[in-house]
Amino acid sequence: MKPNKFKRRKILKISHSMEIIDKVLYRYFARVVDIFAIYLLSILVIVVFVNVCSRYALNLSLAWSEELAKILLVWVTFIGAAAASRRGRHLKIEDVIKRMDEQRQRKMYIYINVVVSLFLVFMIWKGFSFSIAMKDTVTDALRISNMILYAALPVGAILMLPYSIRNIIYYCSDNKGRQKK
Amino acid sequence: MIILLITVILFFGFIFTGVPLFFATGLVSVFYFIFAGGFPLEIILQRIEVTSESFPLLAVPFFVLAGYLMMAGGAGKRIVKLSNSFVSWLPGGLAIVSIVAAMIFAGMSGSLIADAAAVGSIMIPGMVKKGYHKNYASAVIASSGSIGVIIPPSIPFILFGFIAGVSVGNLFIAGVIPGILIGVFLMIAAGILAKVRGYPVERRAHLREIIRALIECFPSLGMPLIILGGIFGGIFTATEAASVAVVYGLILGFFIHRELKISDLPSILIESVITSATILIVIGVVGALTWGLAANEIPQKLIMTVLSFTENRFLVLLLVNVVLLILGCVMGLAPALLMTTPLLLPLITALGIHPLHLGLIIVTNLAIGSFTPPVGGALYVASGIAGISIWETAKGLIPFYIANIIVLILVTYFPIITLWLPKIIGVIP
Repeated sequence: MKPNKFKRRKILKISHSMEIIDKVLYRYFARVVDIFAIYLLSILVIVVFVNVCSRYALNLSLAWSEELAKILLVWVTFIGAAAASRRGRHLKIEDVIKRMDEQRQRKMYIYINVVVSLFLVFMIWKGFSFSIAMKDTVTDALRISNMILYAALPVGAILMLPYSIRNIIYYCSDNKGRQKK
Repeated sequence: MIILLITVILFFGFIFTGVPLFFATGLVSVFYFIFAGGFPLEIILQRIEVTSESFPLLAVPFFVLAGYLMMAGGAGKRIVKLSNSFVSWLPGGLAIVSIVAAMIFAGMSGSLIADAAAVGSIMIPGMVKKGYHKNYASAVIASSGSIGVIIPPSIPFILFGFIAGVSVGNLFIAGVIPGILIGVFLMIAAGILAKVRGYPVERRAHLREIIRALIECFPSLGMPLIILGGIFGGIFTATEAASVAVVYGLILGFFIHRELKISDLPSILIESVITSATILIVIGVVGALTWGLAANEIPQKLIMTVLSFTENRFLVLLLVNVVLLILGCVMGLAPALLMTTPLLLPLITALGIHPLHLGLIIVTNLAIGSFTPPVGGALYVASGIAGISIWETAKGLIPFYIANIIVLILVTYFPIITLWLPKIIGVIP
């Protein structure tokens, strides 16, 4: 009787803290990431379009615009990758897993998220050391530090990592009734 | 050699157990870089970064965005109406209408999903209402997704152009005739099937109806004219044309059709960001892995091994096609394209294949993978709209697979189909 009760309480505790984690990760944190991505893409469209117009209307090519567009694209890509992590939308082949029973599936999801986290940790670790190494070099037109280009990778990885860790905890803890995210 | 074998096993082991491609390929590259040459690991990050800052690849999010904007802005409805007034009297009636509409819509969108959704959401219910079988209706829409991949603007061409160092504009020009050819063959398949099953044929539209549909559709038709005309005429690069397409789509949706709402924009934008980001990061990391492979001359060795068995162009191309078909079906279009292109590039010099021709072979082939189970994107969209499983749709798809494979054979063995238009326009000698 006693161990059972203890176990149930533990489950309750985990699922309660899971709820808080999920609320933070999937509502607040995710919204900030989404808004960032939306603004970055909008600015990107404007920058490239303005350059096209200025070249044909004013016969003036803006040298900085292509470079700014590249920097924005890197950031859109990695912020977008974080938005994809939140929705589980990364390109993957799920057909094999979908045919397994629930117990197996859960083990597979733990393994997948561990593999994902491994590479994310690599990205964060090497990404920061690399962007710091590049901090004294500057871009051609805007003359700003290359660090801003290379920092997108580790920052994107930092934004993705919480979701993988959350998934590992979620699939490890035994909570059957809760919905999968 | 043993390292390469372990790398390949690890790679396929990861991706078939459901590890997202980006992370799987990333970890495998780390493994390969450490054990097969001791390359500095920073190169992996550098390759990922260089890819995602590439100006030509900027066209990817833009064309996807343009496609979604046209879809939400009501262009699909008008294009369907136009195509309806022209071809609905042909055998296969509404199926032919769907395929023609998909061809027109493909000319303004870079997204397979937007193509299939824009036409399918109108035509699948329409066909079912007229007594067409659900799996036939769903199959028509899923297979016409393959047209969207080949008729420019097309994301796979942008990806191929980037990896192979070929002009995206030239690839777009080369894709026009094979794209139309696929459309024609799909229509033949749809028509024959409809005749056998006795599906209804619509009456011929009056001239006045045709003119009215044309006027209503005119602003939407301006989009492919600007994009393709601009690129073919050398006015824009593909990326610039894509940004113009986005602005055109916005003006059309907000001011001309007035069907787009400000509140639609965030979800359209985030959807475009996710679609393109998930592709771009995979290109980067696959680029890193293939950089490592190329540094050890693996692609050349692979092609040499194949050529040591046979130098017969016919057989080598057949082998390439079979391998691509399998990979396209199991991995999906974009991942298969990214993995195989660097490995196939040595064919250009080894067999004297024109780069544009190689691009068309690869994309036409992998386009079939866009509507085969288990990973075909267009298949999921169409089946979702029809409310049936992807396997049921796949049963209805068999005649369309045959049509696509006939075109694939034509494109593979008759380079003139690909190279004629670029030669006429004068972009290649």
